[in-house]
Amino acid sequence: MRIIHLLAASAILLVSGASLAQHAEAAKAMNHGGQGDAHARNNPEKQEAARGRGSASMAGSNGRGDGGQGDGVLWLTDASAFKRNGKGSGRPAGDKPAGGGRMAGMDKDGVPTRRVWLNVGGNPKTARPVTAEESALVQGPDGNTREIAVEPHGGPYNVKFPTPSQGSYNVYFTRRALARDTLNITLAKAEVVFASMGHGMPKDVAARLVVPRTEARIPVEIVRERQDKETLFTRLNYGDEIVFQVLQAGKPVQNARVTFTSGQGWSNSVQSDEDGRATFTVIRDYYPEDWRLFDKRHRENYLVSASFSTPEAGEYLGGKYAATRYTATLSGAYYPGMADYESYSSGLMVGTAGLLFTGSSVWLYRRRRVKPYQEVRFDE
Amino acid sequence: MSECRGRSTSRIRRAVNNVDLQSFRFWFQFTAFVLFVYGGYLAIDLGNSIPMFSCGYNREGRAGVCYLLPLQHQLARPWEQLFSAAGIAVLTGFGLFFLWFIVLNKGWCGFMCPLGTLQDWLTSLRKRTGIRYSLYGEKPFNALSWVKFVLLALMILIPLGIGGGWFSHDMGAPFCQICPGRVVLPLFTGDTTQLTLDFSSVSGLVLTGLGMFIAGMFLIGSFIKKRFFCFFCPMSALHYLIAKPALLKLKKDGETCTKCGNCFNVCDMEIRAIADDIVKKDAMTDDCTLCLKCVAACPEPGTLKVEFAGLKIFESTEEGFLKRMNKGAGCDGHSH
Ligand code: SF4
Ligand code: SF4
Ligand code: SF4
Repeated sequence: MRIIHLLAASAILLVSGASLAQHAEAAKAMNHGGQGDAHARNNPEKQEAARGRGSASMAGSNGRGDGGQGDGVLWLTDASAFKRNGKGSGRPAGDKPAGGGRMAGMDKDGVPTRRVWLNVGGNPKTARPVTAEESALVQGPDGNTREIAVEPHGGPYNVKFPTPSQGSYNVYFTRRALARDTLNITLAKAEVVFASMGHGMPKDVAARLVVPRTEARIPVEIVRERQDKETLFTRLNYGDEIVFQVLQAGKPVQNARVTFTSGQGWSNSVQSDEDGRATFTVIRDYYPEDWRLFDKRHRENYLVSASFSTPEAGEYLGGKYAATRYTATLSGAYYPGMADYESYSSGLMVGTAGLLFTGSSVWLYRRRRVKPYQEVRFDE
Repeated sequence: MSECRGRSTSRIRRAVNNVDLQSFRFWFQFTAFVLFVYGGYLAIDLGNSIPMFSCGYNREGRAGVCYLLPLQHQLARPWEQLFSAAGIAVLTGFGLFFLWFIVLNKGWCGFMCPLGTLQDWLTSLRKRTGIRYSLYGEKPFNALSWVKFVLLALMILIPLGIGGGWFSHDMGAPFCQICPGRVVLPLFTGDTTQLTLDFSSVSGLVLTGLGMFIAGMFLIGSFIKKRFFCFFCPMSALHYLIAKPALLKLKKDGETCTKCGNCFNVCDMEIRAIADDIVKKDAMTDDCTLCLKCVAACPEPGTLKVEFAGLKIFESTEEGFLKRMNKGAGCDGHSH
């Protein structure tokens, strides 16, 4: 019942980005991006202002569609398109959280492996896998990067790579193409987490494993800033604030157009601020018809892209260009948060019931036992 | 020289046998509680095979994880994994658990377990209020003592059923979901996230509902009945099944036992056999928590004793008994 209540509440909140953030705040001891927009959350006007400087709730802006990311945008994801589009939007077939074995496997030496796929299309719901031939770069949790050649097999582009140790792996795909006098550089990046057992991992090691890393060879990239107290097991939830930084050769890019698109295609765009940052609030766009269909592990994939042009000129494959256009993409996953399916009030009610039940049983039992002389009193 | 050493050894032995067990135990339990509930803040991490309820849901403060949590997670792996590579992890985990356990035997319950300590504190609170305690009584005691073994069996079978595809993952770590440790222990570090009901699935709702109800029962139950929960604890059942090779032992010499019943009277777990059984040398039963109160309350020299790897470390003596009697220590038992 509570869940239905929450679902309905969220539907209303969807049209009000400000309230959505408020909902999120009440929701749980959730991680906050904490990037200075806390007081703007409760005030739509302030929030509009915040959007102007690179911060936005996704709701109420561009609305549904390809979010201005263009149908040709390339992005990498560890969610296989076959599974993603397998069963519509309700409860995707076998959709399991990252870290729990998504697109996981093992190579012949028993080393765990992960796989990422290249997609085209600005809307994660309708994007489709594409073919490509470029090799990929994979950077492990140790910071070392290796190139992985991809055999041209004519099928959807995918890269399989070993994940020998726990941590976050960055996978990069770069494409350069000349279009008239502009060199287009597209950089698709996926962050793939491999986490097995969290128990017993020293906290400092766990903290080191989630620190975002960049790769010097990559011309442009989007970095997701970590949530407060983020671990390998932290999931992004509805209502969370998420902050991205756009970097070109390691330096922040101001005024890049940054677009965030939800799994169901809702999107919003902002300009990056002077630190290259753009802030979004993740909306809930998962509404199963019946609460019994609700799956707390339901995964949606977001896509964030950033693009900007520079007057860099030069020559590429024998052709001259007078300007360079950069496009960087990054995808990730988000899930229902505790507040979407857990209830404190009912919990406390049931706990109190347990307390009262036991207390009164003991009391009644004792009362019965201390009145053995009832017939004597009756005689009086 | 050797006479001198002999004298000092017997002095130490005498001091140990005269120990005020009640305050020794209080401070020992207190230290263990602080270690296991707050040690995580000092970066103490003793691994995830701890043989008592150092609750894994106390994410920030725990200094080690209660073995039941990883055990249930490991057993829920798909069978093809469980019976190959992951099986090694299960065996390693169990091996470590066994090594920890073997040192203290059920002494983990009597001296270390935060949930056991909490029950003792609730008992002290009750004593202060002057409210009477309750007992199970012999019949219910005998009728209910299998519950912990059933819980243990379910705790193993349900995760195996999840791995085999019969049950949903929403039933993962089923015992933890109903364990009062999960609800109560994180509260000590200000973590209230376990006070909720999980509406995401029917099994989640039922289990977390049971968990909250049992937590309520736990608070009142342990207030009224000493070690109310330990009687049903599957960890205790698991302990008992593997206790044979343990190093710490509670021994009884039936020949010198006068069946005075003191030991039974002080036993928080209402173990009648500690007084009645004059045949068995190993006096630890399935419900015993090795709290050693019985040893402290026994007036017969050497009748009850504690050994570590065959070495006597604490035994009942008349002098110790009288000392403790005069202090009133260890004699908060029940009379019949
Ligand atoms: S919930 Fe209970 S059984 Fe599970 S880890 Fe915590 S104390 Fe152990
Ligand atoms: S029997 Fe009691 S003391 Fe022992 S592990 Fe269980 S709760 Fe803790
Ligand atoms: S038998 Fe002795 S050691 Fe065991 S619980 Fe009872 S009093 Fe404690």
